[in-house]
Amino acid sequence: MEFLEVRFHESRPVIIDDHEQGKTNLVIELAGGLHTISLGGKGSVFSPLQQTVFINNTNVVSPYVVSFT
Amino acid sequence: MSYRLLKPFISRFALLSVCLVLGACSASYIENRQLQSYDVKSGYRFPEPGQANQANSDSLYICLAFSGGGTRAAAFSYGILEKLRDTTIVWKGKKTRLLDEVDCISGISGGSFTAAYYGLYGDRIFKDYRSRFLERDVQHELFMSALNPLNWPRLASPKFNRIDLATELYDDTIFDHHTFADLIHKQTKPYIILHATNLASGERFEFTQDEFDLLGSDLATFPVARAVTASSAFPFLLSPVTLINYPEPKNFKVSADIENGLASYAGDRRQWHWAVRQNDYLDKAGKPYVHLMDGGLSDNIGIRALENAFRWGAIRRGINNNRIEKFVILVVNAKTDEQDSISQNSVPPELPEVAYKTTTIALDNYSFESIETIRDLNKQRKQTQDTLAVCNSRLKACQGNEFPELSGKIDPVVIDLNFENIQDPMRRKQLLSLPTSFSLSEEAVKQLIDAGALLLDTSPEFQLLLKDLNPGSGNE
Repeated sequence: MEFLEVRFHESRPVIIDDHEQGKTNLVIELAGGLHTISLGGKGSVFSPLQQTVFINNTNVVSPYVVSFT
Repeated sequence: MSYRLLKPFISRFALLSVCLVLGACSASYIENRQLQSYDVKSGYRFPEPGQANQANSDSLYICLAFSGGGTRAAAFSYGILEKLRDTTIVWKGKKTRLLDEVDCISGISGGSFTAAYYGLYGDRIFKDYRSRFLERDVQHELFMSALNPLNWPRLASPKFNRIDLATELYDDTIFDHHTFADLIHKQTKPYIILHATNLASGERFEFTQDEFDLLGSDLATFPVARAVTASSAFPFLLSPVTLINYPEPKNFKVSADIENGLASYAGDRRQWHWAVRQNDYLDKAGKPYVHLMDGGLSDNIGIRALENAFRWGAIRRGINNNRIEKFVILVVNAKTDEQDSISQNSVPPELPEVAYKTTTIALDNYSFESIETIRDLNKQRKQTQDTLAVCNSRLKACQGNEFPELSGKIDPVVIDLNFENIQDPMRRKQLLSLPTSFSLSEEAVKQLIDAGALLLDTSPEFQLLLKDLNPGSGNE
Protein backbone atom coordinates (compact mmCIF):
# COMPACT_ATOMS: atom_id res chain seq x y z
CA MET A 1 0.00 0.00 0.00
CA GLU A 2 1.03 3.63 -0.56
CA PHE A 3 0.49 6.93 1.24
CA LEU A 4 -0.72 10.35 0.11
CA GLU A 5 -0.96 13.72 1.81
CA VAL A 6 -3.08 16.40 0.17
CA ARG A 7 -2.14 19.85 1.44
CA PHE A 8 -4.62 22.72 1.52
CA HIS A 9 -5.06 25.67 3.86
CA GLU A 10 -8.32 24.30 5.26
CA SER A 11 -9.70 20.90 6.14
CA ARG A 12 -11.63 19.53 3.17
CA PRO A 13 -12.66 16.08 1.97
CA VAL A 14 -10.25 14.63 -0.58
CA ILE A 15 -11.69 13.14 -3.76
CA ILE A 16 -9.62 10.27 -5.14
CA ASP A 17 -10.73 8.67 -8.41
CA ASP A 18 -14.27 10.07 -8.09
CA HIS A 19 -14.73 8.94 -4.47
CA GLU A 20 -14.42 10.87 -1.23
CA GLN A 21 -11.50 9.47 0.76
CA GLY A 22 -10.07 11.11 3.85
CA LYS A 23 -9.29 14.75 4.55
CA THR A 24 -6.68 17.27 3.54
CA ASN A 25 -3.53 17.57 5.68
CA LEU A 26 -3.86 13.99 6.92
CA VAL A 27 -2.15 10.89 5.53
CA ILE A 28 -4.32 8.69 3.33
CA GLU A 29 -3.45 5.06 2.68
CA LEU A 30 -4.30 3.85 -0.82
CA ALA A 31 -3.28 1.41 -3.55
CA GLY A 32 -0.28 2.51 -5.63
CA GLY A 33 -0.37 3.68 -9.24
CA LEU A 34 -2.22 6.41 -11.09
CA HIS A 35 -4.79 8.47 -9.20
CA THR A 36 -6.82 11.57 -9.93
CA ILE A 37 -6.99 13.90 -6.92
CA SER A 38 -9.36 16.75 -6.21
CA LEU A 39 -11.10 18.39 -3.26
CA GLY A 40 -14.72 18.02 -2.18
CA GLY A 41 -17.05 19.76 0.25
CA LYS A 42 -17.72 23.49 0.52
CA GLY A 43 -15.20 26.25 1.17
CA SER A 44 -12.60 28.31 -0.65
CA VAL A 45 -12.01 27.90 -4.36
CA PHE A 46 -8.90 25.90 -5.14
CA SER A 47 -6.51 25.41 -8.00
CA PRO A 48 -5.85 23.33 -10.02
CA LEU A 49 -9.29 21.65 -10.18
CA GLN A 50 -7.71 18.21 -10.19
CA GLN A 51 -4.27 16.60 -10.39
CA THR A 52 -3.37 13.21 -11.79
CA VAL A 53 -0.38 11.67 -10.03
CA PHE A 54 1.51 8.39 -10.03
CA ILE A 55 2.09 7.19 -6.47
CA ASN A 56 4.80 4.67 -5.73
CA ASN A 57 7.51 3.91 -3.13
CA THR A 58 6.03 5.97 -0.29
CA ASN A 59 5.67 5.27 3.41
CA VAL A 60 3.58 6.65 6.23
CA VAL A 61 6.17 9.22 7.34
CA SER A 62 7.11 10.15 3.79
CA PRO A 63 3.86 10.24 1.80
CA TYR A 64 3.40 11.56 -1.74
CA VAL A 65 2.45 15.21 -1.33
CA VAL A 66 -0.09 16.96 -3.56
CA SER A 67 -0.78 20.64 -2.91
CA PHE A 68 -3.77 22.76 -3.83
CA THR A 69 -3.80 26.53 -3.48
CA MET B 1 -43.66 -58.17 -39.12
CA SER B 2 -46.37 -56.32 -41.01
CA TYR B 3 -46.60 -52.54 -41.24
CA ARG B 4 -50.02 -52.74 -39.47
CA LEU B 5 -48.38 -54.21 -36.36
CA LEU B 6 -45.52 -51.75 -36.41
CA LYS B 7 -47.67 -48.72 -37.14
CA PRO B 8 -48.49 -47.78 -33.48
CA PHE B 9 -44.81 -47.99 -32.55
CA ILE B 10 -43.76 -45.98 -35.57
CA SER B 11 -46.38 -43.34 -34.71
CA ARG B 12 -45.19 -43.15 -31.13
CA PHE B 13 -41.56 -43.03 -32.20
CA ALA B 14 -42.39 -40.28 -34.66
CA LEU B 15 -44.29 -38.36 -31.98
CA LEU B 16 -41.42 -38.81 -29.52
CA SER B 17 -38.95 -37.65 -32.19
CA VAL B 18 -41.05 -34.56 -32.90
CA CYS B 19 -41.24 -33.83 -29.17
CA LEU B 20 -37.49 -34.29 -28.84
CA VAL B 21 -36.76 -32.05 -31.80
CA LEU B 22 -39.24 -29.39 -30.61
CA GLY B 23 -37.95 -29.59 -27.06
CA ALA B 24 -34.36 -29.47 -28.21
CA CYS B 25 -35.12 -26.52 -30.47
CA SER B 26 -37.02 -24.49 -27.89
CA ALA B 27 -35.11 -25.26 -24.66
CA SER B 28 -32.54 -22.70 -23.65
CA TYR B 29 -30.77 -21.49 -20.55
CA ILE B 30 -31.96 -18.41 -18.64
CA GLU B 31 -30.55 -15.37 -20.39
CA ASN B 32 -29.29 -12.36 -18.49
CA ARG B 33 -31.12 -9.23 -19.63
CA GLN B 34 -29.64 -6.18 -21.30
CA LEU B 35 -29.10 -3.04 -19.24
CA GLN B 36 -31.23 -0.20 -20.61
CA SER B 37 -29.56 2.68 -18.85
CA TYR B 38 -26.33 3.01 -16.88
CA ASP B 39 -26.56 4.53 -13.40
CA VAL B 40 -23.58 4.11 -11.09
CA LYS B 41 -25.80 4.96 -8.11
CA SER B 42 -28.36 2.22 -8.64
CA GLY B 43 -28.18 -1.56 -8.71
CA TYR B 44 -26.66 -4.12 -6.38
CA ARG B 45 -23.31 -2.57 -5.42
CA PHE B 46 -21.04 -2.63 -2.36
CA PRO B 47 -22.59 0.08 -0.13
CA GLU B 48 -20.28 2.88 0.94
CA PRO B 49 -19.73 2.80 4.72
CA GLY B 50 -21.59 5.77 6.13
CA GLN B 51 -24.74 5.24 4.07
CA ALA B 52 -27.78 5.18 6.33
CA ASN B 53 -28.76 1.87 7.87
CA GLN B 54 -30.95 1.76 10.91
CA ALA B 55 -29.70 -1.27 12.82
CA ASN B 56 -26.12 -1.71 11.75
CA SER B 57 -23.29 0.63 12.74
CA ASP B 58 -20.39 1.07 10.33
CA SER B 59 -17.87 1.85 13.05
CA LEU B 60 -17.91 -1.87 13.86
CA TYR B 61 -17.48 -3.36 10.40
CA ILE B 62 -17.77 -7.13 10.10
CA CYS B 63 -17.34 -9.19 6.95
CA LEU B 64 -17.80 -12.95 6.73
CA ALA B 65 -16.22 -15.17 4.07
CA PHE B 66 -18.03 -18.49 3.50
CA SER B 67 -15.87 -20.99 1.65
CA GLY B 68 -16.89 -23.66 -0.82
CA GLY B 69 -17.37 -27.32 0.07
CA GLY B 70 -20.96 -28.36 -0.78
CA THR B 71 -23.40 -28.99 2.08
CA ARG B 72 -20.43 -29.29 4.46
CA ALA B 73 -19.57 -25.62 3.87
CA ALA B 74 -23.22 -24.54 3.85
CA ALA B 75 -23.92 -26.20 7.24
CA PHE B 76 -20.68 -24.93 8.81
CA SER B 77 -21.40 -21.34 7.76
CA TYR B 78 -25.00 -21.70 8.99
CA GLY B 79 -23.62 -22.77 12.39
CA ILE B 80 -21.54 -19.57 12.49
CA LEU B 81 -24.64 -17.47 11.79
CA GLU B 82 -26.47 -19.23 14.64
CA LYS B 83 -23.62 -18.49 17.03
CA LEU B 84 -23.41 -14.82 15.98
CA ARG B 85 -27.20 -14.58 16.49
CA ASP B 86 -26.79 -15.91 20.03
CA THR B 87 -23.89 -13.57 20.88
CA THR B 88 -24.89 -10.25 22.45
CA ILE B 89 -22.50 -7.32 22.39
CA VAL B 90 -22.50 -3.68 23.38
CA TRP B 91 -21.15 -1.27 20.78
CA LYS B 92 -21.24 2.51 21.28
CA GLY B 93 -23.55 1.98 24.24
CA LYS B 94 -26.05 -0.04 22.23
CA LYS B 95 -26.83 -3.65 23.07
CA THR B 96 -27.23 -5.76 19.96
CA ARG B 97 -26.74 -9.20 18.48
CA LEU B 98 -23.31 -9.62 16.88
CA LEU B 99 -25.12 -10.97 13.79
CA ASP B 100 -26.87 -7.61 13.34
CA GLU B 101 -23.49 -5.92 12.99
CA VAL B 102 -22.46 -8.06 9.99
CA ASP B 103 -21.92 -5.74 7.02
CA CYS B 104 -21.00 -8.08 4.20
CA ILE B 105 -20.92 -11.78 3.42
CA SER B 106 -18.88 -13.21 0.60
CA GLY B 107 -19.99 -16.70 -0.42
CA ILE B 108 -18.51 -19.33 -2.68
CA SER B 109 -20.11 -22.52 -3.96
CA GLY B 110 -21.64 -24.34 -0.95
CA GLY B 111 -21.11 -21.22 1.15
CA SER B 112 -23.00 -19.16 -1.43
CA PHE B 113 -26.25 -21.01 -0.56
CA THR B 114 -26.09 -19.86 3.07
CA ALA B 115 -24.96 -16.34 2.14
CA ALA B 116 -27.74 -15.90 -0.44
CA TYR B 117 -30.41 -17.43 1.80
CA TYR B 118 -29.52 -15.19 4.72
CA GLY B 119 -29.35 -12.16 2.39
CA LEU B 120 -32.86 -12.86 1.09
CA TYR B 121 -34.64 -14.12 4.19
CA GLY B 122 -32.71 -12.81 7.21
CA ASP B 123 -33.71 -14.53 10.45
CA ARG B 124 -36.09 -16.87 8.64
CA ILE B 125 -32.95 -18.88 7.86
CA PHE B 126 -33.07 -20.20 11.45
CA LYS B 127 -36.57 -21.59 10.94
CA ASP B 128 -36.43 -23.45 7.67
CA TYR B 129 -32.97 -23.52 6.03
CA ARG B 130 -32.10 -26.90 7.53
CA SER B 131 -35.19 -28.58 6.10
CA ARG B 132 -35.22 -26.61 2.85
CA PHE B 133 -31.59 -27.27 2.00
CA LEU B 134 -29.09 -28.63 4.52
CA GLU B 135 -30.91 -31.85 5.37
CA ARG B 136 -32.10 -32.58 1.85
CA ASP B 137 -30.45 -34.99 -0.55
CA VAL B 138 -30.08 -32.35 -3.25
CA GLN B 139 -27.57 -34.47 -5.13
CA HIS B 140 -30.13 -37.27 -5.53
CA GLU B 141 -32.81 -34.79 -6.58
CA LEU B 142 -30.51 -33.40 -9.26
CA PHE B 143 -29.73 -36.91 -10.48
CA MET B 144 -33.42 -37.86 -10.62
CA SER B 145 -34.26 -34.67 -12.44
CA ALA B 146 -31.75 -35.57 -15.17
CA LEU B 147 -33.23 -39.09 -15.39
CA ASN B 148 -36.79 -37.80 -15.73
CA PRO B 149 -37.87 -38.53 -19.35
CA LEU B 150 -39.87 -35.30 -19.37
CA ASN B 151 -36.57 -33.42 -19.22
CA TRP B 152 -34.84 -35.38 -21.98
CA PRO B 153 -36.17 -33.30 -24.89
CA ARG B 154 -34.82 -30.16 -23.23
CA LEU B 155 -31.53 -31.85 -22.35
CA ALA B 156 -31.13 -32.72 -26.04
CA SER B 157 -30.81 -29.01 -26.75
CA PRO B 158 -27.23 -27.70 -26.97
CA LYS B 159 -28.42 -24.64 -24.99
CA PHE B 160 -29.92 -26.56 -22.09
CA ASN B 161 -27.93 -28.73 -19.73
CA ARG B 162 -27.90 -30.32 -16.29
CA ILE B 163 -26.82 -26.98 -14.83
CA ASP B 164 -30.13 -25.50 -15.99
CA LEU B 165 -32.04 -28.26 -14.21
CA ALA B 166 -30.04 -27.38 -11.09
CA THR B 167 -31.08 -23.73 -11.39
CA GLU B 168 -34.74 -24.77 -11.71
CA LEU B 169 -34.48 -27.02 -8.68
CA TYR B 170 -32.84 -24.34 -6.52
CA ASP B 171 -35.26 -21.69 -7.77
CA ASP B 172 -38.34 -23.83 -7.04
CA THR B 173 -37.30 -25.34 -3.73
CA ILE B 174 -34.87 -22.92 -2.05
CA PHE B 175 -34.82 -19.40 -3.49
CA ASP B 176 -38.50 -19.01 -4.48
CA HIS B 177 -37.70 -17.31 -7.81
CA HIS B 178 -36.17 -14.28 -6.12
CA THR B 179 -33.95 -12.03 -8.20
CA PHE B 180 -31.24 -9.57 -7.18
CA ALA B 181 -33.95 -6.87 -7.27
CA ASP B 182 -35.26 -8.42 -4.05
CA LEU B 183 -31.86 -7.99 -2.43
CA ILE B 184 -31.75 -4.36 -3.59
CA HIS B 185 -35.25 -3.62 -2.29
CA LYS B 186 -34.47 -5.02 1.15
CA GLN B 187 -32.04 -2.10 1.67
CA THR B 188 -30.61 -3.77 4.73
CA LYS B 189 -27.23 -5.24 5.44
CA PRO B 190 -25.41 -7.49 5.01
CA TYR B 191 -24.36 -6.99 1.44
CA ILE B 192 -24.01 -10.39 -0.21
CA ILE B 193 -21.26 -11.10 -2.74
CA LEU B 194 -21.67 -14.34 -4.70
CA HIS B 195 -18.78 -15.49 -6.86
CA ALA B 196 -18.16 -17.71 -9.84
CA THR B 197 -15.12 -18.17 -12.08
CA ASN B 198 -14.81 -16.98 -15.67
CA LEU B 199 -13.82 -20.19 -17.44
CA ALA B 200 -11.95 -18.35 -20.23
CA SER B 201 -9.80 -16.05 -18.13
CA GLY B 202 -9.75 -17.97 -14.84
CA GLU B 203 -10.69 -14.71 -13.16
CA ARG B 204 -13.14 -14.30 -10.31
CA PHE B 205 -16.59 -13.15 -11.37
CA GLU B 206 -18.76 -11.27 -8.85
CA PHE B 207 -22.52 -11.07 -9.12
CA THR B 208 -22.57 -7.32 -8.56
CA GLN B 209 -23.95 -4.56 -10.76
CA ASP B 210 -20.38 -3.21 -11.17
CA GLU B 211 -19.44 -6.46 -12.93
CA PHE B 212 -22.74 -6.65 -14.84
CA ASP B 213 -22.26 -3.04 -16.05
CA LEU B 214 -19.28 -4.29 -18.03
CA LEU B 215 -21.51 -6.94 -19.63
CA GLY B 216 -24.12 -4.27 -20.43
CA SER B 217 -26.50 -6.36 -18.34
CA ASP B 218 -29.03 -5.77 -15.57
CA LEU B 219 -28.29 -7.85 -12.45
CA ALA B 220 -31.60 -6.82 -10.83
CA THR B 221 -33.53 -9.15 -13.15
CA PHE B 222 -31.15 -12.07 -12.68
CA PRO B 223 -32.32 -14.99 -10.48
CA VAL B 224 -30.35 -15.43 -7.26
CA ALA B 225 -30.65 -19.21 -7.79
CA ARG B 226 -28.82 -18.84 -11.12
CA ALA B 227 -25.91 -17.03 -9.44
CA VAL B 228 -25.71 -19.71 -6.74
CA THR B 229 -25.80 -22.40 -9.45
CA ALA B 230 -22.87 -20.76 -11.24
CA SER B 231 -20.99 -20.41 -7.98
CA SER B 232 -21.38 -24.15 -7.29
CA ALA B 233 -20.94 -25.55 -10.81
CA PHE B 234 -18.19 -28.03 -9.95
CA PRO B 235 -16.03 -28.95 -12.97
CA PHE B 236 -16.69 -32.31 -14.65
CA LEU B 237 -20.04 -32.70 -12.83
CA LEU B 238 -21.91 -29.67 -14.13
CA SER B 239 -21.59 -27.55 -17.25
CA PRO B 240 -20.92 -23.79 -17.13
CA VAL B 241 -23.53 -21.04 -16.74
CA THR B 242 -23.45 -18.79 -19.80
CA LEU B 243 -24.02 -15.02 -19.78
CA ILE B 244 -24.50 -12.78 -22.81
CA ASN B 245 -22.02 -9.91 -23.08
CA TYR B 246 -24.26 -7.11 -24.43
CA PRO B 247 -23.09 -3.79 -25.89
CA GLU B 248 -22.71 -1.21 -23.12
CA PRO B 249 -25.51 1.38 -22.71
CA LYS B 250 -24.94 4.75 -24.42
CA ASN B 251 -24.20 6.64 -21.21
CA PHE B 252 -21.79 3.99 -19.86
CA LYS B 253 -18.52 5.28 -18.42
CA VAL B 254 -15.58 3.07 -17.45
CA SER B 255 -14.90 3.51 -13.72
CA ALA B 256 -11.85 5.46 -12.57
CA ASP B 257 -10.68 2.31 -10.74
CA ILE B 258 -10.37 0.49 -14.07
CA GLU B 259 -9.07 3.47 -16.07
CA ASN B 260 -6.33 4.27 -13.56
CA GLY B 261 -5.68 0.60 -12.86
CA LEU B 262 -4.84 0.07 -16.54
CA ALA B 263 -2.17 2.77 -16.25
CA SER B 264 -0.75 1.46 -12.98
CA TYR B 265 1.40 -1.47 -14.09
CA ALA B 266 4.44 -0.11 -12.26
CA GLY B 267 2.48 1.15 -9.27
CA ASP B 268 0.16 -1.67 -8.27
CA ARG B 269 0.43 -4.85 -10.30
CA ARG B 270 -2.62 -6.35 -8.58
CA GLN B 271 -4.91 -3.50 -9.50
CA TRP B 272 -3.47 -3.41 -13.03
CA HIS B 273 -4.14 -7.14 -13.47
CA TRP B 274 -7.69 -6.77 -12.13
CA ALA B 275 -8.31 -3.76 -14.39
CA VAL B 276 -7.05 -5.61 -17.49
CA ARG B 277 -9.41 -8.53 -16.79
CA GLN B 278 -12.36 -6.22 -16.13
CA ASN B 279 -11.61 -4.26 -19.29
CA ASP B 280 -11.63 -7.53 -21.28
CA TYR B 281 -15.44 -7.63 -20.93
CA LEU B 282 -15.64 -4.49 -23.07
CA ASP B 283 -14.27 -6.46 -26.04
CA LYS B 284 -17.81 -7.20 -27.19
CA ALA B 285 -16.86 -8.57 -30.61
CA GLY B 286 -14.14 -10.85 -29.28
CA LYS B 287 -16.06 -12.05 -26.21
CA PRO B 288 -19.80 -12.00 -26.84
CA TYR B 289 -20.38 -14.67 -24.16
CA VAL B 290 -19.03 -15.37 -20.68
CA HIS B 291 -19.03 -18.93 -19.35
CA LEU B 292 -18.98 -19.27 -15.57
CA MET B 293 -18.05 -22.20 -13.34
CA ASP B 294 -17.55 -22.91 -9.66
CA GLY B 295 -16.27 -19.86 -7.78
CA GLY B 296 -13.87 -22.13 -5.93
CA LEU B 297 -11.66 -22.39 -9.01
CA SER B 298 -10.56 -18.78 -8.57
CA ASP B 299 -11.03 -18.33 -4.80
CA ASN B 300 -12.47 -21.12 -2.68
CA ILE B 301 -12.52 -18.96 0.45
CA GLY B 302 -14.42 -15.96 -0.87
CA ILE B 303 -11.92 -13.56 0.56
CA ARG B 304 -10.50 -11.98 -2.59
CA ALA B 305 -13.52 -9.70 -3.03
CA LEU B 306 -12.99 -8.44 0.52
CA GLU B 307 -9.27 -8.01 -0.13
CA ASN B 308 -10.00 -5.83 -3.17
CA ALA B 309 -12.54 -3.79 -1.18
CA PHE B 310 -9.88 -3.37 1.52
CA ARG B 311 -7.14 -2.37 -0.94
CA TRP B 312 -9.05 0.06 -3.18
CA GLY B 313 -12.82 -0.37 -2.74
CA ALA B 314 -15.60 0.57 -0.35
CA ILE B 315 -13.83 -0.74 2.77
CA ARG B 316 -10.71 1.32 2.00
CA ARG B 317 -12.88 4.43 1.60
CA GLY B 318 -14.66 3.62 4.88
CA ILE B 319 -11.27 3.47 6.64
CA ASN B 320 -9.93 6.66 5.03
CA ASN B 321 -13.17 8.50 5.83
CA ASN B 322 -12.83 7.43 9.45
CA ARG B 323 -16.16 5.58 9.42
CA ILE B 324 -14.71 2.18 10.32
CA GLU B 325 -13.09 1.79 13.71
CA LYS B 326 -13.04 -1.91 14.31
CA PHE B 327 -12.69 -4.05 11.19
CA VAL B 328 -13.39 -7.77 11.58
CA ILE B 329 -12.96 -10.45 8.92
CA LEU B 330 -14.25 -13.87 9.88
CA VAL B 331 -13.16 -16.65 7.52
CA VAL B 332 -15.37 -19.74 7.66
CA ASN B 333 -13.25 -22.30 5.89
CA ALA B 334 -14.77 -25.78 5.43
CA LYS B 335 -11.63 -27.31 3.95
CA THR B 336 -11.05 -31.00 4.58
CA ASP B 337 -8.06 -33.25 4.81
CA GLU B 338 -8.59 -35.71 2.03
CA GLN B 339 -7.16 -39.14 2.60
CA ASP B 340 -4.02 -39.66 0.57
CA SER B 341 -4.67 -42.92 -1.24
CA ILE B 342 -2.59 -42.26 -4.33
CA SER B 343 0.74 -42.37 -2.46
CA GLN B 344 0.06 -45.98 -1.49
CA ASN B 345 -0.24 -47.24 -5.03
CA SER B 346 2.61 -48.08 -7.45
CA VAL B 347 0.21 -47.65 -10.40
CA PRO B 348 -0.08 -44.02 -11.54
CA PRO B 349 -3.54 -42.52 -10.84
CA GLU B 350 -6.16 -42.67 -13.60
CA LEU B 351 -7.05 -39.56 -15.61
CA PRO B 352 -10.26 -38.69 -13.65
CA GLU B 353 -8.37 -38.80 -10.35
CA VAL B 354 -5.54 -36.70 -11.80
CA ALA B 355 -8.11 -34.18 -13.08
CA TYR B 356 -9.83 -34.02 -9.68
CA LYS B 357 -6.51 -33.68 -7.81
CA THR B 358 -5.26 -31.03 -10.23
CA THR B 359 -8.34 -28.94 -9.52
CA THR B 360 -8.40 -29.36 -5.76
CA ILE B 361 -4.64 -29.04 -5.10
CA ALA B 362 -4.50 -25.64 -6.82
CA LEU B 363 -7.63 -24.63 -4.98
CA ASP B 364 -6.29 -25.54 -1.53
CA ASN B 365 -2.90 -23.89 -2.07
CA TYR B 366 -4.51 -20.68 -3.31
CA SER B 367 -6.95 -20.69 -0.39
CA PHE B 368 -4.13 -20.81 2.14
CA GLU B 369 -2.34 -17.91 0.47
CA SER B 370 -5.58 -15.89 0.29
CA ILE B 371 -6.13 -16.08 4.04
CA GLU B 372 -2.50 -15.27 4.83
CA THR B 373 -2.58 -12.27 2.45
CA ILE B 374 -5.55 -10.68 4.21
CA ARG B 375 -3.96 -11.42 7.58
CA ASP B 376 -0.69 -9.73 6.42
CA LEU B 377 -2.57 -6.73 5.04
CA ASN B 378 -4.32 -6.11 8.34
CA LYS B 379 -1.13 -6.66 10.31
CA GLN B 380 0.71 -4.16 8.11
CA ARG B 381 -2.03 -1.60 8.66
CA LYS B 382 -1.72 -2.01 12.42
CA GLN B 383 2.10 -1.75 12.21
CA THR B 384 1.79 1.43 10.14
CA GLN B 385 -0.50 3.03 12.70
CA ASP B 386 1.76 1.97 15.58
CA THR B 387 4.93 3.19 13.81
CA LEU B 388 3.43 6.60 13.20
CA ALA B 389 2.21 6.82 16.80
CA VAL B 390 5.70 5.97 18.15
CA CYS B 391 7.40 8.46 15.80
CA ASN B 392 5.02 11.23 16.82
CA SER B 393 5.34 10.54 20.55
CA ARG B 394 9.15 10.73 20.25
CA LEU B 395 8.96 13.94 18.20
CA LYS B 396 6.60 15.37 20.80
CA ALA B 397 9.05 14.48 23.54
CA CYS B 398 11.81 16.28 21.58
CA GLN B 399 9.42 19.16 20.84
CA GLY B 400 9.78 18.56 17.09
CA ASN B 401 7.10 18.94 14.41
CA GLU B 402 4.90 15.85 14.41
CA PHE B 403 4.05 13.94 11.21
CA PRO B 404 0.46 14.31 9.95
CA GLU B 405 -1.92 11.72 11.39
CA LEU B 406 -3.56 9.03 9.29
CA SER B 407 -6.99 10.03 8.03
CA GLY B 408 -8.54 7.05 9.80
CA LYS B 409 -7.45 4.43 12.31
CA ILE B 410 -8.78 0.92 12.61
CA ASP B 411 -8.46 -1.98 14.97
CA PRO B 412 -8.23 -4.93 12.57
CA VAL B 413 -9.20 -8.47 13.57
CA VAL B 414 -8.85 -11.54 11.33
CA ILE B 415 -10.45 -14.76 12.56
CA ASP B 416 -9.80 -17.94 10.57
CA LEU B 417 -12.05 -20.85 11.50
CA ASN B 418 -11.44 -24.33 10.14
CA PHE B 419 -11.83 -27.90 11.33
CA GLU B 420 -8.09 -28.30 12.01
CA ASN B 421 -8.62 -26.20 15.16
CA ILE B 422 -11.12 -28.64 16.68
CA GLN B 423 -9.38 -29.92 19.79
CA ASP B 424 -11.07 -33.31 20.13
CA PRO B 425 -9.04 -35.55 17.73
CA MET B 426 -11.96 -37.89 17.00
CA ARG B 427 -14.34 -35.07 16.18
CA ARG B 428 -11.65 -33.28 14.17
CA LYS B 429 -11.00 -36.40 12.09
CA GLN B 430 -14.73 -36.88 11.45
CA LEU B 431 -15.21 -33.33 10.24
CA LEU B 432 -12.03 -33.32 8.16
CA SER B 433 -13.13 -36.44 6.34
CA LEU B 434 -16.64 -35.29 5.34
CA PRO B 435 -17.07 -35.36 1.56
CA THR B 436 -17.82 -32.42 -0.74
CA SER B 437 -21.36 -33.16 -1.87
CA PHE B 438 -24.92 -31.91 -1.66
CA SER B 439 -25.99 -34.87 0.40
CA LEU B 440 -25.01 -35.30 4.04
CA SER B 441 -26.74 -37.16 6.85
CA GLU B 442 -28.73 -35.16 9.42
CA GLU B 443 -26.15 -36.20 12.01
CA ALA B 444 -23.28 -34.84 9.90
CA VAL B 445 -25.19 -31.59 9.34
CA LYS B 446 -25.73 -31.25 13.10
CA GLN B 447 -22.03 -31.89 13.78
CA LEU B 448 -21.07 -29.17 11.30
CA ILE B 449 -23.50 -26.65 12.78
CA ASP B 450 -22.21 -27.41 16.29
CA ALA B 451 -18.63 -27.06 15.04
CA GLY B 452 -19.34 -23.41 14.17
CA ALA B 453 -20.22 -22.55 17.77
CA LEU B 454 -17.42 -24.70 19.18
CA LEU B 455 -14.75 -23.10 17.00
CA LEU B 456 -15.88 -19.58 17.90
CA ASP B 457 -15.94 -20.49 21.59
CA THR B 458 -12.34 -21.72 21.41
CA SER B 459 -10.95 -19.10 19.01
CA PRO B 460 -8.55 -16.79 20.93
CA GLU B 461 -9.15 -13.97 18.41
CA PHE B 462 -12.93 -14.26 18.76
CA GLN B 463 -12.76 -14.34 22.56
CA LEU B 464 -10.54 -11.24 22.51
CA LEU B 465 -13.06 -9.53 20.23
CA LEU B 466 -15.91 -10.39 22.60
CA LYS B 467 -13.94 -8.99 25.51
CA ASP B 468 -13.69 -5.73 23.57
CA LEU B 469 -17.36 -5.74 22.68
CA ASN B 470 -18.82 -6.50 26.07
CA PRO B 471 -20.39 -4.06 28.53
CA GLY B 472 -17.96 -2.12 30.63
CA SER B 473 -15.08 -2.68 28.23
CA GLY B 474 -14.93 1.01 27.43
CA ASN B 475 -15.93 0.94 23.77
CA GLU B 476 -18.87 3.19 24.65
